[in-house]
Amino acid sequence: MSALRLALATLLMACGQAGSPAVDAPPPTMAESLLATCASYADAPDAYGFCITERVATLPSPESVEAVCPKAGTFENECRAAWVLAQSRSNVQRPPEELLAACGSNQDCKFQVLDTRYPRGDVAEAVKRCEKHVADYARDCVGHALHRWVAEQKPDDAEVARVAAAVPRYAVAVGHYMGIADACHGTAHCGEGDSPAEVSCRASRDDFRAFSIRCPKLPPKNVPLASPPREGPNPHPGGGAPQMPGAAAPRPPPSTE
Amino acid sequence: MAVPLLSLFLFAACDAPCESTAPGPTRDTCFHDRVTEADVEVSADSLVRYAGEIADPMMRQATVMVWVREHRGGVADTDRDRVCGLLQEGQRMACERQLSAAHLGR
Repeated sequence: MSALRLALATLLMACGQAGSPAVDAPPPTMAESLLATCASYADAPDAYGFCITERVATLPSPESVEAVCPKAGTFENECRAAWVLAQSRSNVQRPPEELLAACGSNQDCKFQVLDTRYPRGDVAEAVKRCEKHVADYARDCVGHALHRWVAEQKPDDAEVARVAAAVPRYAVAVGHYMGIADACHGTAHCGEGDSPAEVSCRASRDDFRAFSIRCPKLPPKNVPLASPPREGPNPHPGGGAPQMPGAAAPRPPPSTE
Repeated sequence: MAVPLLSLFLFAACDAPCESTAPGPTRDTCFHDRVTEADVEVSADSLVRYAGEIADPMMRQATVMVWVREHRGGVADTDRDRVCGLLQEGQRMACERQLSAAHLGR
């Protein structure tokens, strides 16, 4: 009988010893679990990167994105953009600066954040953010910001002059979008002065009056993060920036500097 | 006589079309590589055809997304719908943006 008790006690001790490390070990993080799920594709870099990208939306934090997306290889940019996009559907309201950081070096991801996640405010600040964060697409980003500005805020002459002075590099572009607002939406009017913005405004207004079929729709109040700015022959079904006459895509006029 | 025949056989074996490969990872990789490592342009039609031959959904979608990356901002609407339709919902919107946003093609 005592031998039986001894055997049972030994067995329990052995089980306890064997089990204790598992109890003490921290559970895998969500990032680790995600990588483990995709491990079967480790020998196929594209499939591995896509597997991570497809699942990254489930991760809870920018830190977990940093732990996972760099492992996606050539899919790192898509991985980061997928997580940032998912945040637009999340109940967690993250500050746009956090989303910009999560985008890494993916400038189109940052472009979408600037387009959709910043509250409407001083357009000159929006222009500066475009130049700072999305150098490759600054002209498109600025075009979107200016178009929203003229359409939504209906700036008066003083505000136009202030913005043109605040971002002189884009004074001609400011006039261009004002001209669109004048010709297409009737929400602005071009001044009669000879500042770069006013001259540009009148030229743009005359162009769009002559080719009103090219007039863009007003951008929506809230552009869904995933909605691509449909730039092409049929401008703005998705709410992107307007298209200049004769151009294949929206392109603000050259800098005045 | 045997040497030229052997060379011909080896050449044929090395250049074996993906279609004659047995279903499985090797066949999937063959079609993936045909799209992603091609020296010539792979059309949307060809992509749709080759992707349809890839059994593994992850490999298939990865192949599509690599093609999409190479064709940013420059695909006709009808092709865009067919190509992005090969993807599951999560990546479909990203695909549509990449193929339609003109700034990505410049």
